[in-house]
Amino acid sequence: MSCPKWFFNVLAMVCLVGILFAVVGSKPTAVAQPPIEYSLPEAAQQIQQKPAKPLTLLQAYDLFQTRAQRWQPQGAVAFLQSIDVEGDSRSSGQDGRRRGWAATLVGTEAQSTQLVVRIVDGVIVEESEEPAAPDLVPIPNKPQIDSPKALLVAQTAKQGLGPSADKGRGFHFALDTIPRGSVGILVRASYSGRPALLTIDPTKGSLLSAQVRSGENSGGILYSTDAGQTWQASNLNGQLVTAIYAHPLKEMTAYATVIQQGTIVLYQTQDGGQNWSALGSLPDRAGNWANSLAVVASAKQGLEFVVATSSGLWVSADGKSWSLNKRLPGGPKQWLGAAQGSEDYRLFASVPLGKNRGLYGTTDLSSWDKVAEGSYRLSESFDKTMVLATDEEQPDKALLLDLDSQKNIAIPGKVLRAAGNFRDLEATLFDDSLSGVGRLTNKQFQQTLTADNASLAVAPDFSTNHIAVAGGFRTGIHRTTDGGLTWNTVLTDPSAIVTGSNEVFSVKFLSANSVIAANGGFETWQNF
Amino acid sequence: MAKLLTRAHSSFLVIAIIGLLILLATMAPTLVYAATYTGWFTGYAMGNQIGAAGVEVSQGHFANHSYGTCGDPASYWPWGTKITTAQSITLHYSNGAAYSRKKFYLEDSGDLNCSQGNYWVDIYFGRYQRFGEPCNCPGSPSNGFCINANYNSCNDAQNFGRTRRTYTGP
Repeated sequence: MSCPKWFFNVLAMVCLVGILFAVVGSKPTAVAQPPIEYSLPEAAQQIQQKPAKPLTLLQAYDLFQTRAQRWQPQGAVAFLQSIDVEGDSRSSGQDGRRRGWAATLVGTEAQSTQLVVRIVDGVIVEESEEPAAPDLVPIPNKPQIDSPKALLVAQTAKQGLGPSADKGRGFHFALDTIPRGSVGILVRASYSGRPALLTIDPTKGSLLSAQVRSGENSGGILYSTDAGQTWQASNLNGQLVTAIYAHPLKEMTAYATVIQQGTIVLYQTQDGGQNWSALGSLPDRAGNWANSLAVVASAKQGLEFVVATSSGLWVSADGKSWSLNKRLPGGPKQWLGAAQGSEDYRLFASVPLGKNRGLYGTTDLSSWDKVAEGSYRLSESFDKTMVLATDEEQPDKALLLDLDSQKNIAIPGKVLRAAGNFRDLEATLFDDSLSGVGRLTNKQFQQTLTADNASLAVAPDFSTNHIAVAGGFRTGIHRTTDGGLTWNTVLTDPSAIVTGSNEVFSVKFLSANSVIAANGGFETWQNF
Repeated sequence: MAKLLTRAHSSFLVIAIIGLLILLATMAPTLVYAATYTGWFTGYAMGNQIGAAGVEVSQGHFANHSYGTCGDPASYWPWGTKITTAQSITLHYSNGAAYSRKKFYLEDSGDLNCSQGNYWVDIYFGRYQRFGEPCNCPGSPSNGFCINANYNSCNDAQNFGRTRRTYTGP
């Protein structure tokens, strides 16, 4: 079968015209560059190959405003911020310019969609039309102050203002509604190691506010004297507690790390959690957050306090004098767990991210051995003689560690935490990241607590009284008296007793009847 | 073969190839990179006006773990990171009308104590409160910033509960 010549010519012309239309039509209307996904590694390389073209806030505003008006006749910028792009360093933005910007554009009031646009080096790299966020209104007037000036105002007003090194590297800028309902130029930076936010009047260029991210005045510790049935507020109320730990050998005694004025302070209770007093503070260079706390005891060294932070592992014999343990390989120290004997201990520390990612163990804090590769969370057994190390990226298996041995064991699913007697897994409660809290029965995992969970602890005599307590993630505090088969919510609103987030992130038994629970706190912006 | 490739075919091929070359030379690399993750989603509402990123938290925003914490690789994602959920999430306007959204932007942080696992996402449901109701919601600072409306955003957050979701991100 053959086709006439004219047929192929017509077909080819149609294709060509179609292709040309596609090419012309695919051009972005504002900044005439093709859209590419900003997070695409190949695209990021392409961006890097182009000359960097950082923009000021007003230059970015003009681009977005043009794009908005081509999108909708009444289109306008409603929100604008600089964003990190591949290759940005900690010094990015120090001249008031950034390579990456994102904006939300809105049309008329009746418009049900918004256009989210991202530019890198002056090129639109992504557009997304999506349902309009309610209450988003156009920025009424173009700012008269640009980001270099805003940064200068901020740095002049607050000496020591530095670039940020967290989720926004360097100095960042935004144009947004500020609490009074008007518009401000925001400068995001750091101050004394904490995120800082300075708001500049977009018309006058004056400083409207200077705030740091701080987590004080919320959170605290609850205590129970009846094995978790009822709860009261301790004197650590309205205090940002980040970790609690029961004394390894002595009942009714426990320790807590509390953030006060950006400093990690170690607190102690000797009456089952009702009253707490400060023992001492970590040095400023330890940072302003304690990820984890452990207390170990040995015949040789006595009691030693160990605090894990992103800056390293800090050790003290008295809670007052602290030293950085430099023997443990670098990287963020996240979780700690100890197997405690009558005269010695074995402490484990998890470095979950970075080149030294892994689980490390020590018996003297002087030398550390790498126990395993991976990112392990650590749970201690009811009698503190064992540690169960679980990695949610390695489901169905765990490491059971004690004073002088370790072995791989099979566990159900992706376990975030466990409590109980780890030698008898049917006498152990698991919080499986897939299923929730439950227990093994005839080797089958059975979820028994439906509420979202944040912590687990069993009573010291769990094998006989079968009591356990689960701290909920915004769901209250839950208790079982039958070994985890059934649960009762004994406290629906912990924040009604101790102010906080209702994220009961840690529960510890200090004796058969004495229990403490830590209610999480919030970080907020506070004036400085 | 030569007989098969008639003049008509040849002209078609030449024009088509030229067109294709033009297209390739000018076409945007429209590949959309997205890794897929699965994690627990929770919801929050009300709370402070300004989130950890320094901008006003609103519907369409989400929080995840603080920078470099919890062993969570997602804790390194920069502010403004977009995620797209496989299934849409229902939110409400101030008048109570529902709408669905799949795209969310990282503008806040939460779960400071790392009780949740990797790739945890906390979806922000808004700050609407009915007249006379408290501006409180579990997971958010009490007496936060609320907007009077015919709807309560905290109900959405609590009804959303905790669900395991698949989403794309960086």
